[in-house]
Amino acid sequence: MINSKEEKTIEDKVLGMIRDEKLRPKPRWKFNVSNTVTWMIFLVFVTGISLTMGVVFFSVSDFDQKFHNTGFTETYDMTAYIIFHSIWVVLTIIIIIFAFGITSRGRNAYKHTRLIAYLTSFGCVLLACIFFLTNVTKYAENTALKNLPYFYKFINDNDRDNFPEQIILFGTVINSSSSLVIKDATGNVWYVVFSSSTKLCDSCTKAGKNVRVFGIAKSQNVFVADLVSLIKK
Amino acid sequence: MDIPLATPQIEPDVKKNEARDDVLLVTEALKNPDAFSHIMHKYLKPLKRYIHRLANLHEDEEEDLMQDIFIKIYKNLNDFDSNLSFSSWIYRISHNATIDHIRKMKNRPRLALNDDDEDRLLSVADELDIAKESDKLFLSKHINEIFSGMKDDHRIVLTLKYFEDRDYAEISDILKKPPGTVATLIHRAKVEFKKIVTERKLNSNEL
Repeated sequence: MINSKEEKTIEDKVLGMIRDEKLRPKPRWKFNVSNTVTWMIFLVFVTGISLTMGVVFFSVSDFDQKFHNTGFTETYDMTAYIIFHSIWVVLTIIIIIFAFGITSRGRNAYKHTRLIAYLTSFGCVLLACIFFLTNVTKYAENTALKNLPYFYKFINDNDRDNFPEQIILFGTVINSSSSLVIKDATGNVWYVVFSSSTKLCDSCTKAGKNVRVFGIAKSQNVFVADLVSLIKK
Repeated sequence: MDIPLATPQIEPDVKKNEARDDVLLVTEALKNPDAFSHIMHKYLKPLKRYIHRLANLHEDEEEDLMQDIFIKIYKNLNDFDSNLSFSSWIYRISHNATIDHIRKMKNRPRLALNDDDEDRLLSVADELDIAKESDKLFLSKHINEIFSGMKDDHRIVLTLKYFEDRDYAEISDILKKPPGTVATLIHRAKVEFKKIVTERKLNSNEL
């Protein structure tokens, strides 16, 4: 075991190193900052990410144009929604667990394991609720739309009056001889015109088909289409 | 052999005074680097003993590790939280540094018990009602193998509790685990200890 001579050697060496290398204790503020940052990271990750992801889910759900831009529209169905959302949920949960890992290594975190666990659970439950509500709402809405003979939907009520840049028009094809004519749920007849970049599915122009049109409303009954796709019943 | 029935406990007042002394030592060392020698003088022996029990390193390796630990302690003096005991804090740093060192060396911690430690380990056997006269002999012979055969976590908590005389709160501070987890670990460690003793006894009888 250790003897006093050995003890003296270690003491001398350590003190020598402190003197020679002019070592000083790290300032207290550095520890305080790092400790605060650790906790902040955790809180921001758990609450912030849960809420942000919630907003993202709702936005994605409501704004079909996103799917159109990412190429989801052509094969759009509930599976795509659920897979897309699930990826986000899994990613978020991974990030929350990562934050939990960082925090639990922090100073005195072991004394607050319950608090950390509660916050993590709260984040996960919040996330799960948002995920569930988003998908259920979307599913219900989608099912209701599919059961209607005519489809009519704008992004929101204000957009309906103001003719915003991008809107979605649901309707049934009446005629497609010269241009595509669609009748919406309110009975309005729309003349859908195409540009050089318009994407059109093969059977979209057949009379009686229920279609969805992404594009810009130019006037009360003229619609410039970017994409026309069938609504699967 | 006279086996102590319980681990000697330090009186709360003594602990309080010791904690106050430690805070003074830290304050002094923060002002004057030479005053750090008082901390080293007080904790060198117990820390070295603990590291020896934990890792059983070679003397030179152990000395280098001790130096690193004390430099680390000095650099992090401002991180010392006066809500903890200084002793637990210093043990925590040493524990982590030793575990890191063992990991770097890719060695499994090796156990080093001396005669005194064997007596202490027998007190664990006492608590588990396996310290009959014949068992004591068996334990004395095989104590090193039994203890080495245990899981690292279990061995570490038993070392802290029975060899370093640390209470649950202190072990919790050293290992940075909640007190409930520490209690569970100690319980499991005792169960494992009992299981290994029984198994080895059975094996030796069969032979």
